[in-house]
Amino acid sequence: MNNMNEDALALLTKAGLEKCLLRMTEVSPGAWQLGDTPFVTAIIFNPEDIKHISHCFAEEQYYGPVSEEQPDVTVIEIGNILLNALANSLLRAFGKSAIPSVPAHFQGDYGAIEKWLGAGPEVFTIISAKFTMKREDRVSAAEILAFLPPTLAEGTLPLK
Amino acid sequence: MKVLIVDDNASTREMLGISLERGGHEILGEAEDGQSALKAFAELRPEVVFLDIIMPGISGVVVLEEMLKIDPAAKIVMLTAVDQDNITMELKSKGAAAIIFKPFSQEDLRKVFDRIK
Repeated sequence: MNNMNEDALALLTKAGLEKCLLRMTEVSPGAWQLGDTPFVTAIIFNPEDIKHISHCFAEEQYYGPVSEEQPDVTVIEIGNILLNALANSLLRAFGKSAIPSVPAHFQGDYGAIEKWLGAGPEVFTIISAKFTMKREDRVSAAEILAFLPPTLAEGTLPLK
Repeated sequence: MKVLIVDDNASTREMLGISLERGGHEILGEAEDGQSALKAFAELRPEVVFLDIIMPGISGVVVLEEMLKIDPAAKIVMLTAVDQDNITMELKSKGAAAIIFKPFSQEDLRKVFDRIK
């Protein structure tokens, strides 16, 4: 994929994410903002922030127990919304349509990402976007990453 | 109205349930996948179903079709983060009464009920 295509893809992806984060701010108690360096695929966040991230999305009485051992269902739903915003933008850019699979939550390091991808991240074109969630006095940061496979340049976009 | 909620995410089911009850609606039941959704739909006969698309096993698109085979007059509201023109058109052509895109607000729910009642 050449630089011009990457730039166009980045703009389209950013627009989709900005729209989604604005909507998140409107309908949830937290403020969701895109960072300076746009772009996406999996969402990476500090496990210590899991409760705060959930707190930014829903009133406390709405969500279930949160622990580092048990993936939090609210965070998975946040992932579902944000990752779909990314997938919708990318699919639209490539003139395709697909229903993504159910999102999963896992905890780990670089090796866990490599295992999930089935190859090292260096094989992929990566689009990333940092964003923040603020509620009351606390701010959490996270990053959305899109790992674009080499086949993307040929017009195909397999979704995980 | 009497409502069935179908979503694989327990948090979403709970939030949606609370929002609907605040709006004066009755939650007849909940289901976390397509198979149990069809069973609950046949047994409970809700007036409205809020149906997720991305679920383990049978997708919400198939569940929509199956529910309308059971009751062609059923009001099925799709609840999804999938905002793609082709899929939106497919859902409408298959008989979805309305589509709510996640994240949603109490106002979004109210507008849907105004439209489908």
